[in-house]
Amino acid sequence: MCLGVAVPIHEIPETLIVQHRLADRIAQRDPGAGREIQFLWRHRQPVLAVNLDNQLRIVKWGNRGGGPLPAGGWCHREWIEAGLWQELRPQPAIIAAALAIDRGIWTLANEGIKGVVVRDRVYMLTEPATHYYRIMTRSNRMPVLVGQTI
Amino acid sequence: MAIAHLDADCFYVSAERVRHSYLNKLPVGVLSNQGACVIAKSYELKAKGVTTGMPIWDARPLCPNAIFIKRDFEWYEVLSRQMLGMLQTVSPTVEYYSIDEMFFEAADVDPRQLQQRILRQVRVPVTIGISRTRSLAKLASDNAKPFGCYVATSDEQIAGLLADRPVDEITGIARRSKRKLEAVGIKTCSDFARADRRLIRRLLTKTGESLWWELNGNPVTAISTTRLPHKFISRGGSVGKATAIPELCEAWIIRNVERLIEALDYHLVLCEQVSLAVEFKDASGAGLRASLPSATADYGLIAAATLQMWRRLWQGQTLAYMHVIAERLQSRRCFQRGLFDQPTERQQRLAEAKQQINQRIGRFALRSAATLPLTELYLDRANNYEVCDIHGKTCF
Repeated sequence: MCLGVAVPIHEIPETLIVQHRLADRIAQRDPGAGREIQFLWRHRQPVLAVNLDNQLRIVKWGNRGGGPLPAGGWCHREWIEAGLWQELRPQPAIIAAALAIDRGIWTLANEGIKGVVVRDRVYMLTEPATHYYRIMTRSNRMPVLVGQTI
Repeated sequence: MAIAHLDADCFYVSAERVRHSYLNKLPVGVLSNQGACVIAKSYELKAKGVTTGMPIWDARPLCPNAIFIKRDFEWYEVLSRQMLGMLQTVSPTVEYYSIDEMFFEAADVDPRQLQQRILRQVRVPVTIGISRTRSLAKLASDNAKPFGCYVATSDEQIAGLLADRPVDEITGIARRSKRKLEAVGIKTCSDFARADRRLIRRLLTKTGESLWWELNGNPVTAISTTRLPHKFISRGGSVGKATAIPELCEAWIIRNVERLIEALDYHLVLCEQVSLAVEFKDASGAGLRASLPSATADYGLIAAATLQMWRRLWQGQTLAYMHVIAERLQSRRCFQRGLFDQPTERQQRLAEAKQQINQRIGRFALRSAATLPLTELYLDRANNYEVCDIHGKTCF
């Protein structure tokens, strides 16, 4: 399961960084490398940067508490295709991501990850892992990447 | 004559950085065909102790921030051929040695300018070594990495290049040769160059003697602008997750037979003999060789011979690696016909139709049904193009 993404800091407007207090999520992967913002599921209040209606927004990632919304931060692509989430009126969205992490392995996400927004929450879409991804990460499901398959 | 050796710096990683500038200065590893091992690493990743061939699960703890990328040989070939094209504009004699290494005549070439031009136009950093022979030029470039230039053409410069460098830095001197040389007190490149030629020949045969001449500035191997005809052609490698399932093992064999026949077709050769070499999970290995009824590239004959060998040598072990090797090659333009077992006209027409369909629709669009257990593998387009599919290289 993909447990987080990283986005180069210059791709997130300063106003969003301030407004959503993202400063403590800024990381530098290696000395000399550029800074990035990491959006991780393990954060106390997990959020993701989401392109919705051509606008970048910071949206709460899934549902870790109770309530009527589905629990967790992921949605199987097959569930959407089978109409199982129809009542929730999921809105397609693109989660901004240059890199994604799964079982401790960081890999390229390039153009982002597909997601669905339900009310004020975003869920990451997943699909069965390819042979390659499974060997690479030992994970059975992979994020639905935009424009590429690993 | 000055010979130059150009070596792209951590080429697969540099190629990924061309299209993903975000990866600059980050620890990056490019993964093997099966996604299990690191086949190329950035200098940042190397600094953390990650080595080529290391499994990803050993590499990750050494560098938890590393980024691992699936290989894309089609893209790497695009950049490789751009570099080759640029060299051909500055030198009349260029050898496409491997995907990231080239030799060329460097009479009027300014290596610094060339390096900058390649960086500007292809956006890949390269290192260039120039000397009197191929072995010296390669040694020079190996010692100037990354993004360096090392010119060693005068006697003094060559002496400086050889001094105090361990003897196994010479390409062609591996562990066993090194042990033999150390036993007689030859530890450095300069020891090797100064040693008695006859001693080197006795220890390392003619191959070692050739290296001795080359290290002393006398070219033995010329720059080759075209690839010499193959003596054999092989296709194979890891089978991913080792398996003892008979259908899967046979599917891998047939996949490699089909790839082999494609290569025979490409090089316009036929084979009189085929070998199968396998390695099992417990590191034991086995191999068999079969003579074919005549020089052929017929799928039916080669597949049947290979499967027969497999069934003879397999006793339930878990298959990990395999190679199918076509041997005793003959040009299709001129070969000895056999009296028996020529492929029928129908078989030939079938093979041609298969080739045409795959050329038009995509590689492996039409393939043997025996490969059905590997459907998932075929669905991933990246598996259809491997480094051995890049033709024209003189090495591998």
